[in-house]
Amino acid sequence: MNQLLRLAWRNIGRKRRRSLIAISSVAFALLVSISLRSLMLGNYDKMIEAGTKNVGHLQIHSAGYWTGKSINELMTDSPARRQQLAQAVGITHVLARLQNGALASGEKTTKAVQVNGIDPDIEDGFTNLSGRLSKGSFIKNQSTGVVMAEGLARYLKLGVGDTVVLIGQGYQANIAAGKYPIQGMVRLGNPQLNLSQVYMPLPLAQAFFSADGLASAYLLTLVDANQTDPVKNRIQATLGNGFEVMTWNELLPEIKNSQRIDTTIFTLLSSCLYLIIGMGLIGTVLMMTLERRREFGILQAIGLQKSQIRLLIILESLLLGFVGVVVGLALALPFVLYMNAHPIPLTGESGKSFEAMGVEPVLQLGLKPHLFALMGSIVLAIMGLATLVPMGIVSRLKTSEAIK
Amino acid sequence: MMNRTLNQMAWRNIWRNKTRSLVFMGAALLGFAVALFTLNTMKAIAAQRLRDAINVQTSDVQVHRKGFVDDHELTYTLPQADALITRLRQTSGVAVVAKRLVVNGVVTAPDNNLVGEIKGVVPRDENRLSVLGDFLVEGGPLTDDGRSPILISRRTADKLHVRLKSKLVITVKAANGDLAGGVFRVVGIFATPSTPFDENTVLVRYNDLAALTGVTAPHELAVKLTNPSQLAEVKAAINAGMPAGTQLDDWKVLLPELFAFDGFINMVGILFTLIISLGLGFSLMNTMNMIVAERTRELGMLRAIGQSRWSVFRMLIAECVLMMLIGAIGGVLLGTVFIGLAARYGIRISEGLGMLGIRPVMYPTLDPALLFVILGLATLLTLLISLVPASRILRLNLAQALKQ
Repeated sequence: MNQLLRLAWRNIGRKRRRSLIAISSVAFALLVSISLRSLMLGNYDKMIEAGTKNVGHLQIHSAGYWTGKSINELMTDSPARRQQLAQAVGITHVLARLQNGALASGEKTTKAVQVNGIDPDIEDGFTNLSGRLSKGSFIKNQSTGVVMAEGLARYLKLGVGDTVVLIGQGYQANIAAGKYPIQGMVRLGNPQLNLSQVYMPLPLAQAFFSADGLASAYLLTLVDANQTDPVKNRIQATLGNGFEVMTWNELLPEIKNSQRIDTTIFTLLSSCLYLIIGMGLIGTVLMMTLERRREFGILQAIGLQKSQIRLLIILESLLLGFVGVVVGLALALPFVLYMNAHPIPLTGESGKSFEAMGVEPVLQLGLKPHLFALMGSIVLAIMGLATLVPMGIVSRLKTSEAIK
Repeated sequence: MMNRTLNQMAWRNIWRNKTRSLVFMGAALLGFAVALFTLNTMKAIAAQRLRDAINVQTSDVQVHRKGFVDDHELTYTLPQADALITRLRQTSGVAVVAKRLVVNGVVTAPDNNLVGEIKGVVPRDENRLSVLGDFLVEGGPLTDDGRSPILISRRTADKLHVRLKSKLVITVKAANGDLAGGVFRVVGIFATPSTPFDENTVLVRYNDLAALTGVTAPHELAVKLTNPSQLAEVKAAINAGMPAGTQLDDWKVLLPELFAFDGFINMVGILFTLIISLGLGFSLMNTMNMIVAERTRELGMLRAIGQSRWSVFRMLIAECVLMMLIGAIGGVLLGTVFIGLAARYGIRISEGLGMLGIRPVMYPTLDPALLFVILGLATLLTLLISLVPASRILRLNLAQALKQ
């Protein structure tokens, strides 16, 4: 076996140029597929991070609320209940929100807005909304004023200190109407949100919507973002059927969708690449066998078993693939590490569209060790498949004819 | 030697090592077939999505008063609209012109309400301009008969818990600054591939909305072209006589994310082509490398009997070109067959991409531009790579080659 291994190694060295090309094709395929996927996964991580900052890792609503987001499907909210949730295992924050649409009017203009009743202190510790403050001051729990998105304020031609009139539908067909001083303005990255968001303290919102002691959602953040499913199941079991517990995955289907599109494109692209590289490898392995029929004949004549010759071919091609994988990983790893540490800033249109989603506008490759293992083993498996092709040739080898 | 003879020799050389040539041609064939099919499907999805969005949401070109697109301000109506409409209808290349009122408001049902965009349209013009009629799942389109009809989406109907013939109340801010409300009856329910459109838009008759708001001049003129590819020409023609203070926007401006997605798909296409060319390039490089190594003596002999370096080089390239073309043309034919099958039976796209406006089943047709990209670009790139080993023949040392 040891001898066969040495023989195989030397045979690879015999046709140096050919072996080099085969090795570089494997390395190239690995480098391309790993870098591309790392980029996609890195981007995906950023989107999740930005997304969960908005909706939390988990949300609890009254059952059926999410489809209609109706002001009539609220759940009771109390400090005790929040306390109880916050003490459950794996949960860091519990944020109560009361949200509904309304019409906001300034001097002359009116616009459809989203009114968010929030718990300013806890919410800020999580979303850092006050960090986006561009004018005025942030709301506190006892405030009687609101914070408005900058674009909306501009549209309504209102400034800090001015009064906004909000009219909408309250809980159980009550009319929600009120006048609120604007205490501060925030600049939101997403242009649509920047034109539509109004924030007020939860008690004020409960009064506005005639929904005392009610909330539309609890946002939960977890210690470990990968534990959403088990924690969700646990909470759902405790709360029972009157509530729905949803993960960020269900709350933000657009992240899932864009990942699905990326994954499909990547799968197609990499299978196409591996198909072509695989065919190239088959060609190489095939030639390695075909051109050495005479040599194999002689090896047989001096006493090697056919099984040993087969093993030799397998060893040669696996070695070729293995060296290719090692080279490919050795190139990909520092590249991905470097790009992970030095993200490329995005400018222009694409940068703006990232900002619109609230995502930091950079291209950063994600570090995913399993990706390296996966791609490496796929290439080795292809190499293994490629070795099957010349096996038949060895079986049909007739010593007497081959050495002629 | 004559070109003909060289080509003939190249052709025969291909079949001297049948296995090797067939493996390479097989790789090219499969690679090209898969690449053509996937790229074509992606382009078809992007194009369909764009067409749907243009036909349902924006039409090819829209005219607004300056500032309306950003603010949707009720009073930003078009000056001298009737004269403008007449002029637009007389512009060559314009198929349909439809005037619209676009107002933000609240749609209220007994159980829930919706804050969204209310479009007032002229049924006769709108039904010629938009393909919304194709997406009606219940009821019929808006007509001039009956009292205050309204079209809503399946999603809105579910959210508001209403059905065909249900009554809805629309509340908007009127021109005089008061809130105005009117009762509308659901005559049709639509479901377009675009979830955001469905969630935010309801359609009523122009005159009904005008009566409600007190605004009679249109906010928006939607223009459909006879031939969408003449966008630039028609835009220029329209632009020449636009009244001051108005602006003309095409779908590229109105649907920036779709325009960007189109660019993204094109980028993926280029990446795909590059990667496939490189992958195939490795294969061809290796084949060429083996050819040059095996035939050193023979090629030296050709030189010795009076062939120039270049004609020997040319012969090798001809061999590559022939193999490449057989693979590429075969692959394109196979890919076209795949596409034909897909166009007939449809490709099921995973559910839930409605958020992005993608239809659940696609019937892609062949995009001829792709044939050019794949056949032209990929073939050329691959051949360029194979020049590296082939060029070794130019530096051939005659004396040594003949000694082998």
